[in-house]
Amino acid sequence: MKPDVSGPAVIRCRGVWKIFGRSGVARLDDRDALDDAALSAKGLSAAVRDVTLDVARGEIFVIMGLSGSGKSTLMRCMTHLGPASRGEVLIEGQEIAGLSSDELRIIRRDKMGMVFQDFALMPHKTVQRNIAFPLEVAGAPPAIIAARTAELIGLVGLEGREQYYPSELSGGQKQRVGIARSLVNNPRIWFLDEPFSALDPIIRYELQTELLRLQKELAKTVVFVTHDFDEAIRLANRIAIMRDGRVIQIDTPERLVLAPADDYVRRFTRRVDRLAILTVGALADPSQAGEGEPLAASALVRDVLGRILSTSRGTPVVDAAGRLRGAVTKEAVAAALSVCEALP
Amino acid sequence: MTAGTPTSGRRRDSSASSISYVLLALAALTVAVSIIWPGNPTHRLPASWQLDLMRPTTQAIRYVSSDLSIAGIEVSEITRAFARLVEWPLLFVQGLLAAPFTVEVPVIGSTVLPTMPWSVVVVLVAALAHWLGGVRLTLLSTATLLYFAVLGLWTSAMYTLSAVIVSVACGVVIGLLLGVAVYRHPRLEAVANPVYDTLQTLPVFSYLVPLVVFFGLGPVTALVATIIYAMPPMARVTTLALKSAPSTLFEFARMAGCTPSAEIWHVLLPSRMRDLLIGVNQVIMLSLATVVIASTIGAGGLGNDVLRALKSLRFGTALEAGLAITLMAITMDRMSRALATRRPDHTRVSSPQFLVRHAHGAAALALGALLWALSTLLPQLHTYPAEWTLSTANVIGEAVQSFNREHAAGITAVRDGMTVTVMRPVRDLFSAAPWLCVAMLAAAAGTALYGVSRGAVILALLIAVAVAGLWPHAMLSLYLVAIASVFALLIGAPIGTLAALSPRLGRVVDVAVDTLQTLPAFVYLVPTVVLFSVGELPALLSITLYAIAPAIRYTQHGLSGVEPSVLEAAAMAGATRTQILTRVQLPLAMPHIVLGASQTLVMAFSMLAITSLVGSRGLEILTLEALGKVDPGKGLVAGLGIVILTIVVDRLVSGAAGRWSWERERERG
Repeated sequence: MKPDVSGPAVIRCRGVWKIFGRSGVARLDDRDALDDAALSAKGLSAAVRDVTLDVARGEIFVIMGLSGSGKSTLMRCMTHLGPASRGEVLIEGQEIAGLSSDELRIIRRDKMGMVFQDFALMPHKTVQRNIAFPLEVAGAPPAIIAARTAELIGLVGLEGREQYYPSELSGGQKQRVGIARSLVNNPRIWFLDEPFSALDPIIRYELQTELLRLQKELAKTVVFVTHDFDEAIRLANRIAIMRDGRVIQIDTPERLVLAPADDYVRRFTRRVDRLAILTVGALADPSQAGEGEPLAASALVRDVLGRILSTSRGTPVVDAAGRLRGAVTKEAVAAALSVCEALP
Repeated sequence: MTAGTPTSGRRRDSSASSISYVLLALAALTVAVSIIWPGNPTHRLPASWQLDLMRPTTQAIRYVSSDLSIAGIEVSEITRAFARLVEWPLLFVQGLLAAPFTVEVPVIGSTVLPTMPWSVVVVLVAALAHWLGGVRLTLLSTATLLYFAVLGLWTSAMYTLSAVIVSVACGVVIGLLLGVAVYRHPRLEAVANPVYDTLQTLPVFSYLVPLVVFFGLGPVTALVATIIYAMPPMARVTTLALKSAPSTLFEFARMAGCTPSAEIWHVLLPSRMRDLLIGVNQVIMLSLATVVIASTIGAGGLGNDVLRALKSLRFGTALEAGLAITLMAITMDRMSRALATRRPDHTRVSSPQFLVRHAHGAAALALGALLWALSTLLPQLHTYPAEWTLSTANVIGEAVQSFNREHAAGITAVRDGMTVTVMRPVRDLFSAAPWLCVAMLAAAAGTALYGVSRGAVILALLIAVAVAGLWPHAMLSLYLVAIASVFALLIGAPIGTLAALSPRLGRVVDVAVDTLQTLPAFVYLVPTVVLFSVGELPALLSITLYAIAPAIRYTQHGLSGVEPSVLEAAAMAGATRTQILTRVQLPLAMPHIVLGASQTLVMAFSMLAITSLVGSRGLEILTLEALGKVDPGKGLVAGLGIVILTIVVDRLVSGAAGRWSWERERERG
């Protein structure tokens, strides 16, 4: 299962706005009020509105929203591909807007990797040369490039395809190349923009598994954009749900399901397989003691369902330190699972 | 050239249409007045009202070329230096392929570069063709080269080939740089597009004249003209390719930490290689077409052979050299297209063996070197021996002459019939029409299609033609183009219809039209002159032949583009095949066919310029005369007259096509 992460913030967004106008990015007076009336009076519209969030070191932070919600735009504010119109973005404490283009280039070369929905592979280069490209651009010595490229080809399981061209690969293989290429410079921050959305469901599932495996091994700080709530639930340590440019809720998958901020979030959570995300700890009732062998708070309800259902007096729950947190009962499980039926 | 969007909005329509009615009434008035008072100023513009633009233009160009100096350096010195810069690579390639080239090496003194033996050229080209497209392309290219050798056209062909090689190299590089510059600074686009348009519409002879003033008569002038003419498609394709690259690729390059120029040259451009290579194909074909024409001004080559043979009525020789140009065009087109459609394939590059990876290059080099060495022992391998050549010129020439003699009655009947029943009446009509009437009719149509301001521009442009004293010549050009376009449509549309109805015939027509579009315009002069000797009739027929391809193609595509479900619905409604064709397919395909008509007109205008070589008498003959007298003003002004005619006619016809389909859309809701 996903490890608990609560490191220091690697990416901080403070009051970030992204405003589009008729001629690209419009210049706004700093004193201009930012509301719909003021913006539309100037012929502008906001794609990202007043977003403040922190991405912690080593976590998988998923930005989830439907198309047009501003999720990709927000990611482009973080990478400075589409600079924020207002507010600040700090990468490891450095304000990104204040960097010169050379400094920005160096940060991107050294610290960032990015995966794209349409793969963005270079059709004129082989798999090997595609993966090696970021290192070539950075002027790394050929021996290091060769070794590192071979290592990544192994990591994503593309051995034997080194000399293939992108047009000779399947969609899943192409995205493996995209993933390897984004990791070749050993970045600390890994951006993935709907990386699996263009793939078939089976391949998508396979690559999600792959991503979790890689993350376990590499422990990057990951920002992952998707429109697929199930994907978000499966991958995320924390999810930011966006709608109309605003972040509505930032929480762990479990908290999103148990305590959605509003009906919009609740609608996404309705069809989620709760058994797969609810932990025993979240359902434990501190007023009860229960009986029998205690369960770990981080255990998934799905994995211990038989034990919980076998007794009517509740099963004790202990946290990582071994302290008793209460007991989980059949009724609590039933209540948590039937929230969806209660909705209109 | 792109058609503007027809005006929309009812209010603007009504004011524009009332103005166009006024213009129509005025046009009718000029006709009435001219019948009562022939020779009035609206009928024939008096000489005293005309402005001589040619002489001042000539004087200005001559002043710049001979007297003007910038910062103490005379312009003529700059142009001469530039000429030497361009001349050197041309002489080098020519030296390699056609004639020995003497280089001055500082220490050793002058050295003569050896010319490549013909056998080596054949082997190298064959290897390239095999690498590009396998056995069939190898056979085609070898057959083409052998044809040159066997018919004794080797040296001429190599002159033409070297001019094409240098022009393509320069055109591709300049086009790439310009295209990237326009992509980086989008504001340039507003300037670049009209300039490209004009460069490609201006008749070749028009800009040859000022170039002759600057660079003198010779191969460099021809080369510069060719580059200017053939480069625009490359620049356009480059800008377009960069614009159409996926935005994520651009973002990837940013994220990988590329510098802005690395972004363009290492990521975006190579990833659009296929588009760029299609641009290269166009540069190659346009270069060949222009090189052939330009060679008639004394640069030597196949075009010159054809023209000299035609002028001295050696029809056999003309046909042989014409076929050589045709073969060269087809071979170049197939080879460059094979290059553009190659798919990258891992099996070639993945072999660890150097010789396997580069089998073609290695084989070509080894065999070439061997042949070159052998050719020192066997001179036949070096220079194709004259006694091995085989000329069918006399046989063909005699056959043609005896054909012409035997069918003299028929040929004369066709010529006289065409002249009396079609050409003379139409020419008289165009010449007799009051100039202001024609200008107002065009302006009325322009106003109705695009609104008042564009109508006014059209009127102003045509008045400019009249004031410049070009009107009578312009009408002689226009009448030829008009008849030829009508002929092309009358022949092309039925062929296109048949091709759309029968898939088997369709495939044959596809190949034929493809080939027709590959051939340099110049080639189309040969058969008509052989049959009808020089004059306006062969000019007319050459234009018709050249312009027929779009008429066929657009009709065919328009008809076969009709959705099958519509046809099935008509069939289920009990319509006969003829009814389906006339009531469903043709009406639906009409916008396409009209678009084809506008393409036909543009093609006809571009062919018009060359027909001056065989006896047409409109504006185009002025450009040719200007070339003979080295009178750049005359050439430019007459050339701009053709540009104006082309633009006005194209806008009117393509506007009509646009309006047609647009109104249909509106009817459908």
